[in-house]
Amino acid sequence: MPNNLIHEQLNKPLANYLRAHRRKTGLTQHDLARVLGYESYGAISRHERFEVVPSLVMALSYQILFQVPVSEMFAGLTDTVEFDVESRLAEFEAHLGEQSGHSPRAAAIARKLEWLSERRS
Amino acid sequence: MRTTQPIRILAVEIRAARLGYAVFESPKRLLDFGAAGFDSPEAARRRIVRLFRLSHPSLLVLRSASYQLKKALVRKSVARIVCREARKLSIPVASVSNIALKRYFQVNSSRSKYDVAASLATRFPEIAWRLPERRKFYDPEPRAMIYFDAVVLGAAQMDLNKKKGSDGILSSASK
Repeated sequence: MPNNLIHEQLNKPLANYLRAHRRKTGLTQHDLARVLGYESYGAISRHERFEVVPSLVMALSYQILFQVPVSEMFAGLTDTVEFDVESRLAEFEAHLGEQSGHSPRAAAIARKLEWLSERRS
Repeated sequence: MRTTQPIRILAVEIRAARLGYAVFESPKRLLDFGAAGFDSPEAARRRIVRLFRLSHPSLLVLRSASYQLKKALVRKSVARIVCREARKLSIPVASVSNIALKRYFQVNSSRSKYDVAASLATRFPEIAWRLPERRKFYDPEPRAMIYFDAVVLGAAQMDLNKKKGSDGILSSASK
């Protein structure tokens, strides 16, 4: 990972806290791989080093195993996804706002804008 | 979205051929701890870079250069390497002196390393399972003690810093 990327992440939550939760339990990466059905510990190591984002099934497996919600365990990733979705929603809302006055589907657009407004409040 | 930014502290205890580390996240969560062996300063550098990548610390805490460090050239050179790598990533370095550590634990009525380790095990249950048994005077120091030495550094830094009300840096290292 380049140095500037590391520096950007200093005050942000870690992409995931898998290692912290594993260390708390005393499990090794080998143990975890065995419990989660992997043949070797490589995948676990890659998840912990933020090299690979685990699949949804694996993320849910971690949640069940450590009894911690996925969004909490993948706090940094959750923040990134949240930021991206909110940005795109804001763009989408602006786009709808431009169309609302003269579109044949005005009612549908109004409903979408209403939902967006409800969602914010 | 989160409003408070977490502050992560990486405390590193350097020995002649091993370094112990502990990673804390504000307010008081022990994320990780462990030890890594090295047989050369270059190996130590690789270990510390790997630690930086895993923990993304906002602050690095070391034991300040003392008489012991001056005597132990390896430890001193490794400390210098660690500081240099931290500077490359713009990670501030704080040092806690032995005197500050002793005073801190006297206040907390801990008399020996083992009392300190036991009190830390209560405070951070994550590490309690590694608490070594009190050794006999003729036994060598348990290997797990290095984890507790690193945790001590981080915990002392956090608490002393809270008392001072500053930004987390007791004294900038100029190693």
